[in-house]
Amino acid sequence: MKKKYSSMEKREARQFYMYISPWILGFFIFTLYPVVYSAILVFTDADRTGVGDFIGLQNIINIFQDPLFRKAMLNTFYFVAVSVPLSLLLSVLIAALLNKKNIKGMAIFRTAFYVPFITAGVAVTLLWGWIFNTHYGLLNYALGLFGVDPINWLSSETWAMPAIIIMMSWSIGNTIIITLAGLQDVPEQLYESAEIDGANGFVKFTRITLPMITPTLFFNLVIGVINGFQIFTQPYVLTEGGPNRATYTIMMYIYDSAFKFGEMGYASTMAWILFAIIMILTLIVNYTSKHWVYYE
Amino acid sequence: MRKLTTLFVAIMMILLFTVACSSDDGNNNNASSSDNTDANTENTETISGEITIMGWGGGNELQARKDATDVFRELYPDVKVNEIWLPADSVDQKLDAALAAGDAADVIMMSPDWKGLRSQWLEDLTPYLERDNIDPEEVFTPGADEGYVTPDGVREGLPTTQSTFMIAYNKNIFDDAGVPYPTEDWTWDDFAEIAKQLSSGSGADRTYGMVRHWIQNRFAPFFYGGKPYNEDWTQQHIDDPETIKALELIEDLIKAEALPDDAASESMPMDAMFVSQKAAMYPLGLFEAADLAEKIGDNFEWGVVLPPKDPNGKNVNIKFQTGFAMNKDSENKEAAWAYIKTVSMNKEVNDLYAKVGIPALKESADTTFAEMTIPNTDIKQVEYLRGLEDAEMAPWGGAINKATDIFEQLMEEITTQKSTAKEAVEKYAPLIQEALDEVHQ
Repeated sequence: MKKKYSSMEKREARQFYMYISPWILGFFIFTLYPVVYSAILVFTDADRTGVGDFIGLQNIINIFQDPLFRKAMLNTFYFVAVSVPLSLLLSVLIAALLNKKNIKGMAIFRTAFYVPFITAGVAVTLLWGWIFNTHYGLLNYALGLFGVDPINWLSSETWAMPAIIIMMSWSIGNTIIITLAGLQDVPEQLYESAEIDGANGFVKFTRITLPMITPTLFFNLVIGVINGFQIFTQPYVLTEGGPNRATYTIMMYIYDSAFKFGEMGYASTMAWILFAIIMILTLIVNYTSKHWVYYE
Repeated sequence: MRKLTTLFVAIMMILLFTVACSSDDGNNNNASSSDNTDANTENTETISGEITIMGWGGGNELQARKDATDVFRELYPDVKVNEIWLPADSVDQKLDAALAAGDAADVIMMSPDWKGLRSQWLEDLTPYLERDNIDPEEVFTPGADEGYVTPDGVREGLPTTQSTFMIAYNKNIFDDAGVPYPTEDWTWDDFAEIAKQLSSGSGADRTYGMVRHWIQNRFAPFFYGGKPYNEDWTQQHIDDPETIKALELIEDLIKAEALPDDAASESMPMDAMFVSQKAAMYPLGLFEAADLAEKIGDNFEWGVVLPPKDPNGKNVNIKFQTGFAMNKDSENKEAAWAYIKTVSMNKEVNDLYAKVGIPALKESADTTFAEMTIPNTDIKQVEYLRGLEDAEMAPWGGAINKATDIFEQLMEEITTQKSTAKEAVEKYAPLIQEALDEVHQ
């Protein structure tokens, strides 16, 4: 039987929709509409104005025959495959240090690790450009103290992507803070019981800490994969995708196709393929999580 | 749930319908405004109403544009002018969006190196010139008006300012190396020889014959009389022997370390490399001459010379041009034309332009501009004017942006020494051709 609403309930409902409407409308106009429109563009040869003829699956066929797409995708996978595990490892190690008790000035250390995350990406990237400078850079100077010859960080196909990964590892403050929260949630009595049983620090870390923070690691892994595939600003500013496309990522190709070459249809197709890849990988991670993520 | 789904579908349909209708409106406007154009009619009425102009720029150049608009306001007090000035790097996206939406400005700053990119939105100005009995060849500085008329005879705009290049050289480094200063009859072989003689030292202490300037890639195909593509950019000429020979010159200079390799060129900004005397020569655009002169100050003696000649005896040069076009959809075409005419041909305006570029008006270029010196130096700007007539239009960009990107990749393979010039050309010339073909499809 249909429920009858009182006039007060109806008024409240009206007020609810009135107050929520700016966000709902914003979502429809600025998010949902562009998403739907980009899906339509996949099947067109739309130019920079967003208008084009229907070409069926031609964009998808072209993309899988496009060597630059393959190159950009491989570069992106390389970045994700190295930077995501590295950032997880570093964040656990640093969060473990920041979780130590009875250390003076811990708040300063925590702030210091978090600040790079909230510093403007372009400014930080330009700064790193100087750190990586072959002749005058801080990094080569430091390596030189150990007898290492200067490395052409940004102008060598071998070193350019590692340089970007190093730079990204510097701004993992958010991952560290989330991991730190996970560490602080581990019940103290588990460690006390382990100590009574004679467990040393390594055993406590591998048998208690790591399993207990797996939900946090799972979250960081998913977010890391999603963000990793969307890497853009750093290679765009630092190397412009070079040298010889060694740091050219899929997001850079999407940007160039859309705004430099005026191929909106092609760019939309790549964007949807990227979405599909991220979605599949996220589902895989999610599926495997039941084997390695421990919930209390 | 069903109600929600129905609501969602309804909203999406309304949105799509709204967009479809607005798109149609834009097309209808296009059609009607073209039909209503009657530029041959003699306009005897006072020009009035409102126009919006849109352009880009910064610093002194932008100020000159604003001052030019004030001159127009004085001449046409009944026309209200709205100005939209954008940073150069955000123009393309905003302009394309505005044009597609049908609400772009009446007068649009443009450059011939757009290569037809926005032709469909621009009014043909030929009837206006004919109506006012204006002969561009008489009025404009030789070389300034090139590229504004499409291959099919449509005039998309009128010129305002131009910029060319000179080779700036450090006299101290030349003197120390015992190399005579270059003269304007030098060739690119002479240039290569001189650059090698001037290079010395190693690592961070290396002095290079010439900096690696972004403009060099654009100069390169023309060194030995070659060109990147044909007149209507349907056929690439990158694999012509003359062009390959030019690219081999770059390859040779990188190998000889007369030009910095990628690592060295990224070690400091190119102007800083010249200012700090780590490079003996610098391709100096007019647009940056005052700035560089100020940085050099009294640190060393320097001069400028026209870029080297190709085998046909022509000094190779590149020009960057800026003009103004009229939006086909403008609702006040008379005022828009009056504005374009003023900022292109008015003497007072062109004298203002002389501070920031080569003015389009021949009278201003030959007098005001030619008499000026690069600020803080006694180097006469007239040298830049001499390079304009023979200068090649900036060869890359606009409608052929994809081919441009591929050409940059080709050059990068050479400058990073990944490939020889021949190998790079073999690899990329077909891709450039493919990109050009796409433009004409």
